[in-house]
Formats: sequence, C-alpha cells, structure tokens
Amino acid sequence: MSSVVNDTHHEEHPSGIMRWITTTNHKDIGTLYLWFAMIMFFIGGLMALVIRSELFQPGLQFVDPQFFNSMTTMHALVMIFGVVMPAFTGLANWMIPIMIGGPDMALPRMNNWSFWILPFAFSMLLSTLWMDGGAPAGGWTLYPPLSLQTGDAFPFLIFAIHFMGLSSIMGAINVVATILNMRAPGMTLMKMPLFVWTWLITAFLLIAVMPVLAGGVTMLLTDKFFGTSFFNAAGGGDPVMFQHIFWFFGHPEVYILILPSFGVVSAIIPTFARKPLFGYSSMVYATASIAFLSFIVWAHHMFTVGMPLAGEVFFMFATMLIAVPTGVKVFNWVTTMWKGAMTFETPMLFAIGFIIMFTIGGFSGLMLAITPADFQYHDTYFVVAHFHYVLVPGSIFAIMAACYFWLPKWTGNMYPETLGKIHFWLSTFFVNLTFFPMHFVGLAGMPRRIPDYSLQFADYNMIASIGAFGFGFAQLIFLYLIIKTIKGGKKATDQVWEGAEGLEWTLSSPPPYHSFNTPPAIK
Amino acid sequence: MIEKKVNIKTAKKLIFICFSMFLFSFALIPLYNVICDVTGLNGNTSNLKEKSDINLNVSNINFEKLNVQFISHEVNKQNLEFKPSEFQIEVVPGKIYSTYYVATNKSKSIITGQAVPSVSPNEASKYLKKIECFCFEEQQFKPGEVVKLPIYFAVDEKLPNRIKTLTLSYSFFESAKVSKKD
Repeated sequence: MSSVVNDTHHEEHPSGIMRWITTTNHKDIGTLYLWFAMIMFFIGGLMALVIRSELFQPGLQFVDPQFFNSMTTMHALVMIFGVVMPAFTGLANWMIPIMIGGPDMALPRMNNWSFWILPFAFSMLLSTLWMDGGAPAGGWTLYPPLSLQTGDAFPFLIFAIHFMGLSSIMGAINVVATILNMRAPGMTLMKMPLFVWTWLITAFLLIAVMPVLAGGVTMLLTDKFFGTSFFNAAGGGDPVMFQHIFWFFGHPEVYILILPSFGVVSAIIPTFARKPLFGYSSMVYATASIAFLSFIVWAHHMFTVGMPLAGEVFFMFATMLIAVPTGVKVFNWVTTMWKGAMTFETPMLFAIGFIIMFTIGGFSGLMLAITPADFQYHDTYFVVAHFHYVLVPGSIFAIMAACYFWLPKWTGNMYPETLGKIHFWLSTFFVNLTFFPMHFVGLAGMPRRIPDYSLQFADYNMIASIGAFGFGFAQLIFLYLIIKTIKGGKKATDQVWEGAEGLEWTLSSPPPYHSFNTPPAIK
Repeated sequence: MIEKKVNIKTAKKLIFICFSMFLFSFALIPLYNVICDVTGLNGNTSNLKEKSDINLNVSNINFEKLNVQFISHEVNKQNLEFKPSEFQIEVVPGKIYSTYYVATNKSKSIITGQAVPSVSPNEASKYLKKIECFCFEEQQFKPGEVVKLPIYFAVDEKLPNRIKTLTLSYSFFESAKVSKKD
C-alpha cells in the first residue's frame, strides 16, 4: 500500500515518517487506518488466544481469573473499537471519494486528526495492562457497580473510550460531509454504490450514538471520582439506568459494525456474478430501516433485569422485525447470484462465506430475541457464539473480502490467488471449529466470561481452542499475502475484475495520488 | 472556495447533532426516573415525601386478605444489622397497618444512611401507599444503638385481584461518602 506514491500532481509532500504524520490525503489516511486495524487485529487476537488457552481444559492453568477477565474485556474493546471500526473507516477513506468521483474527503485536516487520535487512545487503553489493579476486567459493557471497582486503570479506560468516540465521530462527520457535498455532478444519491449508502447511514448512526456512550462513561467517571450518584443506589441512582444508556448506544453500535460489510458484499457479489445487483433501491431502504429499528430494540440485551411484561414483549417483537430488512438483503444477494456467470476468486469466496455464516449468526440472534428463551440463554456461551458469528465470519470476513477485492486497485499488483484461497478455506474451517461448538456448550448452560468450567463442557471447549489457534495462525497468511502484494506481483489492469463496474475501476491501478480533480462524467 | 464553506456548514450541523445527543444521554436520567415513577416500573415506590391520601372506606372491609412480606438487605453487614420485626402480615386493602424494622449499630462509629424501598411484583408498587416511613428521611445511628424504625402503610383497593402477595424490600445504604440527592 505504501507503493501508492504516484504523484502526478505538482504539490509537494514530505517523505518518510512525516509524510504519514502530516498527510491529509484520503488514500494515505485510508492506508493508515487499515494498517492500524491490522496491528490491533493481531493484538486482540493474541488476547483471544490467552482466553482460549485457559479454556483448553477445565481448571486454572495459565492465568489468574482477574487477568482472564481483563483479557475478555480488552479483547472486546480492541476488536470493536480498534479493528472493525477503524478498518471500515479506512475502507471509507480509500473508497468513498473515488466511488463518488470526488477529489478527496471533505475535511482533510480533520481526517488526519481523527486517525492520529487512535494510536494515542489505544496506547492509553493497552497501557492499563501494566497498572496497579490490572486492566479493566468488568466486561466491555462496563456495567456499574462492578466496573467502578477497576483499579488505577479506570480513568485511562474512560478517557481512551472518549478518544475512540471522538475519533469515530470526526470520521463520521467527514464521511457525511463528503457524501453530501463532494459527489461528481450527475452522481445522484440513488446512483451511489451501496458501499457509499451503507456508510452514509452508518455515519449517521455513529453521530447519533457515540455521544451517548461518551455521556454514559462520563457519568461513570463522575460517580467514581466526584461523588455523583447516577448509578449508585445509595445516593438515589440506579445501576440499571447505565444498562439502558449503554445499550441505547450499544445496539446501534452493532449495526455500525455490520452495515458497511453489507455495502462491501453488495459490491463484490455483482462483480463476480457478472450481473447488476438485484433490488438496489430495496437494499437502500432495508439499510435505512435496519438503522431506524436499531434505536428501539436496545432492551433485548437486558431482558433479565426485571422489565414489565409489556416492555419485554415490545422489545421482543421490535427485535424480530429487524429480521425482515435483513432478510431482504440476503434475498437480494442470493438473487443477484441466481443464474449469474459466477467465478470464485478469493473476494467472492469471502463474500459468499459472509452471507452463509452471517445468516447463521442472524438466526441465533432470532433465537436470543425470544424473551422466554433468552432467560435461558442470557450470559451463556450461546450469546458468545451468536455475536462471534456475526462479527468474525460477518464483519471481519467482509473486511477481508474488501481487502482482496480492492488490493489490486490500491497496490497495482494482483495478490497470489492460490494463497488467498488457502487463507479463505483455512479461516472458514477454523472459524466454524471455534464458534460452532460454543452454541452447544451455551445451550447446555456454560456461562460466559469465566476462566473455569464444569467437566461436561470440556470436549467442546478443547475443540473451540484448537479452532481458535488454527484461525489465529491462518491470519498470518493474510499478513504475508498483503505485504507480498504491496512489494510486487502480477500487474493489475485498471478494471482488475472482468465484471467490475464503478468509478474506482476507471482510475489506473494504483490510482494517482490525487484523483478526480476534474469531476468524471457520470452516465 | 465555495465548496469548503459548504463542507464546514455541513460539519457544523453534524457537530450540533453530536452535542444534542451528548446532552440527551444526561436527559435520559430524569426521563428514566419519571417513567419509572409514573408507571411504577422498577419497583419504584419512591422514598420521596409525597404522602398519599388513601381513601379510607370502611365498607370495603370485605376485601380478600393479602399478604405483605418484609425483607431487608444490609450493604455492610459487619457494622449494621437491619431486619424487619415481622416477616409477613396479613392485610385488608384500604386499612392502615404499621410495623417496624430494627436497626442495630454494631460498629464503634456513627452510621448515617438511608433505606431505599422496592416492591415486588413491580406492578404492585404504585398500590402500596406509605403513609409514614423511615425511608423518607436520612437515619443516624449512634454506636451500639438499637433503633425501631416504624412504617405505616396501606394497600390501595384498586390493586389487581390476581396479586395476593406483595414483598416490600428495604436496602440500607450508608451515605457517608455519597453526596445526598433530594
């Protein structure tokens, strides 16, 4: 990706490290975001492997329970805020301007700032691992009063979350301003690629809910250090209130993590099926409805806190309603492939893997939405299986699909196809080996976030741990493949893929440092 | 550049949305309390000083009898023993009853705090009227002191028939380190 130094423009930019620190170029910043996500992916993955090693067998083997809990908490925070969100923001930076025929992002200086906050935020978060009292261990949901018992790490955790929020809000503002103001003449909203549409909606979700999280964690901070009682029953507050605030953010957040992947898949499937996307406008409306519904379903995360029956029923049905627009999307993807002239290059494999495995995660989500059943499933490994199915073979596979899909465009080189396919099949095999058995142990009653478990869960946990290590090592192939492609390889054509359509494919591979300074003509 | 101005204008609008959502997160707190008080959700019987004027109609004496149970939670068991004097009484809706909790300060220092009530099932909470309750005020116990904490209450006649048992729970929280909210 660093080979994208094809400056045909007369502007000078500094070389070496200063180029990356001072850059306001959307392609550079996209690259930075993607590399940042890659580094965090391996850090978060390492934490997952600590968890899986400890759970390889019943009993306490490697780490003490406090550290184990830190690992579950930090793994979640790193993977959500450090991997999936920056990776999607990176893709947005790289692709949105060249997909809509704009010269750059709308607010380039803010763009630089919103990236460079992240390394500081995560240094702060990761530094808590070495602090007195250990890293945060109360779960990424930060429920009080437990999270208030965090040691010295607490203020660092809160400020790290503030910074991550600030970064993603600025990124989102930039995306919205870019999409609304920087489109080439003739690029109407309903002509935009779906990746742009899904990101527009995601950005609005971010702007709406990240400040709510910031407010919630600020209240935690003042409860701990300034004697307020927002969530302290002794002072007239209510700990359940935090859960409401958190999930008011948290549920739209899960759609922030998945909507851009819908956009990615909607770009890849038509390319390799060599057919236009089926039901473009229904895709747009489905995305918008999912975003709207995400605001009125938050309490399905807290069915067991003691809500009145009317509340439980409302949140159950509202949640199930989301299956309708999501079903529309899956239907459209499948119909796009129907009778298409399909080929199965690596991006297509990842996209099809996404559709199948994300749907499995969607179905277990529906099971969890059934209130009376949720009383049984709540806080078990079934929940862990559910959200890992939608996040790993969901979001992460979509990000990988996007990397394979656009890597030839970014670098000008084709990636080694066989290696890519090996990466896909290993990842798919091991991801299922890891997470499928979790459904069974969860239904059998194994609680989540514990370092030890009853003997009857031993076999499935051992299988899951083997799967986790396999999946982890398979990702080294991905890293190797990307570095190799950046360094060289078969030259890619401008269109790269036979069936590819869209403005990004009209640019050279790699694209010039500054593209579309004169707006392209839109058919 | 005109384009730049447009971008900054869009950004300003979005930043405004951001700030309003930040404020909204704080507005959720009073909103939540209001909703809980109005609907009686969350077992909120409110320990504020809004004494209810219950309609004492003696002709209603024929009502079916109900059980009211009393339980307690002490946050700091070593220092304070906090127990109901009777665990269950039989009541008739519309009549005023009294009972008391007993608090024993086992520590060597003064304990200040407040009891926070909660009623189960939730939907019964708005029918349990407290005429006088120690939970209305902050309590102070001297070292070694044993205090009777009285409560006068009545169950509203409008209580749905299907509810036969109400549980009134008190949690006593020390407020030494907590700023008092009214």
